Amino acid sequence: MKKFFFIPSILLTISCWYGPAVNESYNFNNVGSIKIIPVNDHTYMPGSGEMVETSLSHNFLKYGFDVNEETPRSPRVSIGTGYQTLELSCIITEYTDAELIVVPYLYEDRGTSTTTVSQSASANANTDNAETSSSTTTKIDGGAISSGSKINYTRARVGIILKMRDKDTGSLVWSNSYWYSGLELHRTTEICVRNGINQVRKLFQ
Amino acid sequence: MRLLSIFILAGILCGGTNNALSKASAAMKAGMYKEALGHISVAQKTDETNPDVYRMKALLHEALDEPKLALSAWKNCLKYSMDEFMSSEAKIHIQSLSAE
Repeated sequence: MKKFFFIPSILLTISCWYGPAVNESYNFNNVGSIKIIPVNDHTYMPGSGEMVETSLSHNFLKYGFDVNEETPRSPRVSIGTGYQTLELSCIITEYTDAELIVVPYLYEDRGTSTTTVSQSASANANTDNAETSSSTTTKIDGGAISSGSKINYTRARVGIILKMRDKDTGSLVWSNSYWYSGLELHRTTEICVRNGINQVRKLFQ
Repeated sequence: MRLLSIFILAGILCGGTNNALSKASAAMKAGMYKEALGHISVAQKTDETNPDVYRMKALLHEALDEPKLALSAWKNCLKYSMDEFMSSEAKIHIQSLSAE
């Protein structure tokens, strides 16, 4: 009976966990630098690799780290006085410039109001008076709130997987995936990468 | 006998929300984000619990670099969303904007 509750609860815990995977036995205090490995382009977007790569070094710099770009397309980030070097690699899992989003909505038909005025006049030759009459009719359509309409717009979506491995031993010490959405591709890329680097820097605080 | 009929159209007041969201969509496509937000506010008066509209609004605020307003819109999106993917998206944005 206990197994009946235990197994689903373990599965639920695993499926809800989106945090980074960290090698608990690795000592991050010994890290002196991080080498950023060149990022390959996403299949559908030439140039995306370089954009993400530039954003990686930009964000490290923004968080106060020294970034050395002496070697083209292989920047090195200074972390501390440690002797170990980590290699940071990034895989672009998604790089969509224009994803179509459909927005269904309720709309209000506020109705119409139509007023008809009828006038008639008649004059008799035998009398001095002319007779006039008029009538007014107003039709009101009260409207309604109905659904079924939709509009669309496009947005950008960027997804990455960041991995860090020890250069000497080759062991994977940290990894996590991120994605972000926005209306502009460059800004979305920037925030997606920033969220990743924000977590990386916490390892060295 | 003379019959005179006069038709007076007092007002055709149709298309409130419908029009506003269409205008918002068009403004977004043209990159006029401030204008789009104005139209969305009109549209929300009749559809206050639509998570899709809150998401649209949040993305516009983010594009305009208004993190506090974006955060508020994402929280409303999460509140009214029944869709797992949209909720997940809202949580990611809330986390990112809260960290700023």
